[in-house]
Amino acid sequence: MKKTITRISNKCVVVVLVGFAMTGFAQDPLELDQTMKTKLLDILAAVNESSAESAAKLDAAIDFQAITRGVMGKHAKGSTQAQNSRFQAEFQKSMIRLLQAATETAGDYTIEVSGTKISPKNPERGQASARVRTSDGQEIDLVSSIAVVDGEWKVRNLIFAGVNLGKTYRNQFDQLVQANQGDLDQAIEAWAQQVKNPAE
Amino acid sequence: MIPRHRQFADADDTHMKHQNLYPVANRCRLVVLLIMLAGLGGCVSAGSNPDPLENFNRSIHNFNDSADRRVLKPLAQGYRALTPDPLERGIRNVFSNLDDPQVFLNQLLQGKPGLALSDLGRFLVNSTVGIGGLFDVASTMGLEKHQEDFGQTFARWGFGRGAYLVIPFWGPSNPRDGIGDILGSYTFPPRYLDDVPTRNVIYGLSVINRRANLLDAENIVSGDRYIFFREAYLQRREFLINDGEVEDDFLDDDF
Repeated sequence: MKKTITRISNKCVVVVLVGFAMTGFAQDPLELDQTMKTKLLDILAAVNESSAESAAKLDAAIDFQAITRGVMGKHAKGSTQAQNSRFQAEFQKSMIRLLQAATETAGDYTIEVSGTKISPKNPERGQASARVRTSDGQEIDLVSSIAVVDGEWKVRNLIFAGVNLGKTYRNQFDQLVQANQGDLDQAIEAWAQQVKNPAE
Repeated sequence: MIPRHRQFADADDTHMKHQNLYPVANRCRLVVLLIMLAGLGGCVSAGSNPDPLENFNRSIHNFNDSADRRVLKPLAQGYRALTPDPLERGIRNVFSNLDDPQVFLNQLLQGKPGLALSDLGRFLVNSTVGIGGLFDVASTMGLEKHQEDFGQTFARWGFGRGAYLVIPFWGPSNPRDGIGDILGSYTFPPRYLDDVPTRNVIYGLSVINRRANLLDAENIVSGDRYIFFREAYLQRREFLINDGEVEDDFLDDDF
């Protein structure tokens, strides 16, 4: 009898756990709006600090690895692990610099997350739409593509006023690879040089 | 000198429109049309490449960029430094208001009578209560600013955009947007002013105002500037055509 009860309760636990796993990140939409607002504010604050804490915050909010791979695009196929890590380090710098420039431009900004949607095909992919109001009264639409990575929602791309950063970076990387006759190491080096000396 | 090549990142509603062809461009209209025809030709032979005229475009881009650096950008910086912020915002609002007739017309042409009515309302309210558009009263009343133009209407009607084109003194475009811009210039009310000096001052101010609004956005340009401008332009236009709906397939492809 006792055994049966244990067995049943074990089954219940399994059912409940499976249930949790299936709902996955089916969060309350309003809660997700709030999560994304916090993440975006975290990101924009963290890019202007350089501490271990801010780096950890960025890692928790941005899926740099996926973005880097996306920027490498078709060239990621033939790349080595060393090339990937090197490019990720350099790319991360350019992305942080861009966000720094954006926050500097925005002055005292406010962010309002106007809605999040989860992909009907994949409950672990989604999009958060926000509107940034800058200190001089301009409004910028900011869309973030998001995905569940290591158990939390992370940003996988940013679209500023319709300008898709991931794709823009991908085209720039592709251009560098072409300019270097397909040599990935040289293309990554050229990217690193641009990060060091941004052209004016 | 027209800062169209800066236009991509213009987050402010006022200036994304290409409503005005300015005097210089008026004189160059034939050249512009010829370039657009070349763009259509490029499009026919282009296949999937969005930029078959890249070499030509790059040289015009470099020319525009250096002309901008020498003349227009310093002017815009001076304007911004000298104009008190509230006045700067007021001027931005005035030009935004002058763009609303084109928005209204294109909402109608795209079969959106409700939005057209809202944009007509904006124009009437801001022109009167908002003192000639100086104050954007309509927005506080809930009549939101929209961004529509003939180029977007043509896209809605199913016309292809043709090859990407950089036009001298004008910036990124394509045959569809370029022809749209020429039509749009007829909806810009100051065009019909009889007093030529006043009209020219308004045209000049609108160019400087638009450039000044892009000074900040420029901060985020990085890497190959030509590609950044091109991608930003194409994506921004797509975004406007889809009325702000974003379909992001950046990480959909399995690399």
